[in-house]
Amino acid sequence: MSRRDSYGRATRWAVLAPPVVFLVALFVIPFLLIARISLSHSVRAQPPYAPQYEGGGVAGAWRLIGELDLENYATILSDDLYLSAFLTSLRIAGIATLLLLLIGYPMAYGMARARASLRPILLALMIVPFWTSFLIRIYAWIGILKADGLINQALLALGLIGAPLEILNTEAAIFIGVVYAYLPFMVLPIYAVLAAQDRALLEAAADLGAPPWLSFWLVTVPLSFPGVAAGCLLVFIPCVGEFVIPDLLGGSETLMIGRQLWSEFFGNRDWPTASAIAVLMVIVLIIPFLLLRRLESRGEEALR
Amino acid sequence: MKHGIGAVAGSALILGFVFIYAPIALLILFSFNDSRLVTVWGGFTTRWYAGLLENEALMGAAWNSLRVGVASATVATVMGTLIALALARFGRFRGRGLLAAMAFAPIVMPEVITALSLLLLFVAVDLDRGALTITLAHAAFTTGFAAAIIGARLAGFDRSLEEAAMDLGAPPLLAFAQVTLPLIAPAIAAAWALAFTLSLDDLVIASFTSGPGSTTLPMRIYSQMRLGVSPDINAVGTLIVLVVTAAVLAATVALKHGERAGAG
Amino acid sequence: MRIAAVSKRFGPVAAVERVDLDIRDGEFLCLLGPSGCGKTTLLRMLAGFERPSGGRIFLDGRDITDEPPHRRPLNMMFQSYALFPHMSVAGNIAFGLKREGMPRAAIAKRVAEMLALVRLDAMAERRPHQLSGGQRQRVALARALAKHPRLLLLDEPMAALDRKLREETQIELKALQARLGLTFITVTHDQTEAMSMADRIAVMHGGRLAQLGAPHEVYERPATLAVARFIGDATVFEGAARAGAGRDDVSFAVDGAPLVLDIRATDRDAALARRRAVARPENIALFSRRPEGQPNLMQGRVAQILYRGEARLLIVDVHGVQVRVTQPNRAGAKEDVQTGSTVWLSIAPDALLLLPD
Repeated sequence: MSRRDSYGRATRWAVLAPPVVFLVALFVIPFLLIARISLSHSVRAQPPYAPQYEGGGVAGAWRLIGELDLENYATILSDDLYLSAFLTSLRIAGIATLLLLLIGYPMAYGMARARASLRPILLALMIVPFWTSFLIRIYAWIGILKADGLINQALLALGLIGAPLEILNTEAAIFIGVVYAYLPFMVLPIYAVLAAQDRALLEAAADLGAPPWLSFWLVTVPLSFPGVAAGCLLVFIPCVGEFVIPDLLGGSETLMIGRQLWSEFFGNRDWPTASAIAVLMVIVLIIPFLLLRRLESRGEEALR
Repeated sequence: MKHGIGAVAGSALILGFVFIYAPIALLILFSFNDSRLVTVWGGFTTRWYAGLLENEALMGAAWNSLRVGVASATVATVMGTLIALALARFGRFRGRGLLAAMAFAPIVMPEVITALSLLLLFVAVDLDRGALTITLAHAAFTTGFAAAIIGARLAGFDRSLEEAAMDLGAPPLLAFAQVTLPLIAPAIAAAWALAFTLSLDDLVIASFTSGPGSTTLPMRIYSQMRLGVSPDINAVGTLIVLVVTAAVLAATVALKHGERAGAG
Repeated sequence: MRIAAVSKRFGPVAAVERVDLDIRDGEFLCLLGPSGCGKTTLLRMLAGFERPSGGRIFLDGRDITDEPPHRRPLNMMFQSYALFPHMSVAGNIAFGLKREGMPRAAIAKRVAEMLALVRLDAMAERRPHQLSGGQRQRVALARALAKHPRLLLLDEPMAALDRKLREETQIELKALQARLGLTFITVTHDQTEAMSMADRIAVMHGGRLAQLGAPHEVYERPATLAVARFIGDATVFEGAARAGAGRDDVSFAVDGAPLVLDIRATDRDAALARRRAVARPENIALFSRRPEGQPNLMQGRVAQILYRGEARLLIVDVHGVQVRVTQPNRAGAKEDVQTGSTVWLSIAPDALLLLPD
């Protein structure tokens, strides 16, 4: 670590101070605020929660803390609506992650094994849509999936169905939307790991008697595990809190927790409940994240 | 691709790209459809595009989005560069993991949570909601992406170039300005472009942190979408897709060019 | 194993061109040549990773040219070792045995045998990244040997080792090969390695087999100029040959210098057509005073002296030709030749070889 000496103390502080202040102000403090407001009560006022800190120094702060409670959590955990929204979100995110893995893995593999001259083009083809409007791309599916949409028109014209299928406003539509929107996040980490894999390992497996499919299963797959884990997490976590996709494609019956939070906030103006939902989401989501970190460090160790 | 696995992967790749691009192609196609019923072909027209120019609410929202995008992307790029630099060049300093966690967590964090937390902050410090709050929120949410892109570039280039500059008598700051900065310039440009498009695209965070009169383009489009498909949205979407694609291609070419310059 | 007229083209480039090679049972054969000469491509065709563009490969009389690598009864030790990073040392060694469907107990026994063979008994449960470079190399060797291959292919087996370890490993590997009685084919660009380990060396140059022979044959009687240049050190005189007095004598006039060398050729008719005469540095005698009665006497000036421990290499300028001469270093020897000294060189007529290009 002699290299760190090439930057002086003053330089290091000058580089570190602005982003640290920025991130503490716009990431850490907001989180503490969520936690604090999740322990408050909803009131008809501006801002719409109580108790407020009304001065009084330490004593005032103590009084405030004394008035906070876990009531919102108790409500959420005992209310079937929230609980089922949580479970539905986890289930949908889980199934979507699995679907993404099944679709994304072969694509990542195909990209990694394509000719070297072709790879940058495939990579660009994968990345470009991710840059273009998420909202617009989800919207494009409405026209395809709706009752008089393109899929139904095509199936009716071919005589395969007698009446339009209901796809829009079902869970199937959510899965399509999630897979569509999150595909690059699954493909790219897996691709990165597969492309970096030493081809000699597969040759060694073949040399020792393993036919191609077995080399794939015994060497390629286990060694791609860090990429698979990263990809799964990168899609699972945001998917649990997804709002746009269930809102536009899922119809009113599908209750997902991100949408629930949105409607508590905008519909009911119940900020404390919305905050409590957010805190619970973070708690639920932090577990897989920590798991990934452990897997990743183990994977790195194995690949060193 | 002679054996079975290769064939499966090859077909998956082709089908996957069809899946990715078909909806976009259809969106563009039907933006030229001369029929109110978006999915029934009624002949070619460009009238929806002409109509956009007269839609003042939409144009105003687009202008808001552009301003917010430029400002927030600039802040995010500066912060992202500093973070990437600290993570890549300062060794294993105390709090390194914490800094990385703070910077990168918003990448995976569900947007509703980030959005709500930032709103609560703005309310707590009594900051009037409007273009400024959206800008700050977008900067906070895109900084991690910028840091990731610049960090990858910093990790990829030969550290000894900086050391050579210092060895030849340049103090660290000068070495950074004359050697490091030009080499990571393409990544900084790419980071800015990504932060800008993410801001331009964001619905959830903007909805939480905007106030009256600061409606952004995605918010405007979203409120129209909730009423169902309409040819105007197809036209807006087509424009966004084309502009962003052109920008991404330009950025890719710039990045490639920079890489070659960096290697040579 | 027999390699018959095997070629390999990558696009317009011929990496290997019509190579014929018979490999004897139990021999240690070294494919030697500079990088890009096709030796690795040839080895990879034997393992089955590359398909020849032409020619056939036979093993025990059976044509295995179209056999995929996982069905060939030979194993390879990779230059990078290609140890599976997610498996233990024992797991790596057992990999090939499991593919044969060997029962568990037999696998355990064989793995233990192999670990003992390469002296890594204590490392069975380690992961490759926890081993030193030398230990990894031995795991790679054990893994390749575990399946009792008909033939072991070794791709630059010493490339990743430092010099000291490389020498020890050469001795060990040679001893191991002799003890197991296995056929080894190794690829290397290091002539010392090839000469100290191999029973026969196949020198490759530009995709072709330039010479095949025992190490001393290849060194002392190189078949072409390229071989002479690649293996060992040599001075090359350019000039023209004409018939001399005796039946085998050739008179060689060096271009651009008043110098005529007497050469004894084994095949005079062939030698007369050749334009290059080659001498090994240890076969050139050096005198600090003009000697009497020495053949091919030349006067020159010492341009440079390179100290090499057991010997010195002197570069002597003789009428513009840079002649390379080695002199052994002995304790107490008088140092009377310095840079700039005038010296006399002499080469025996049978120590000069006329070689085709």
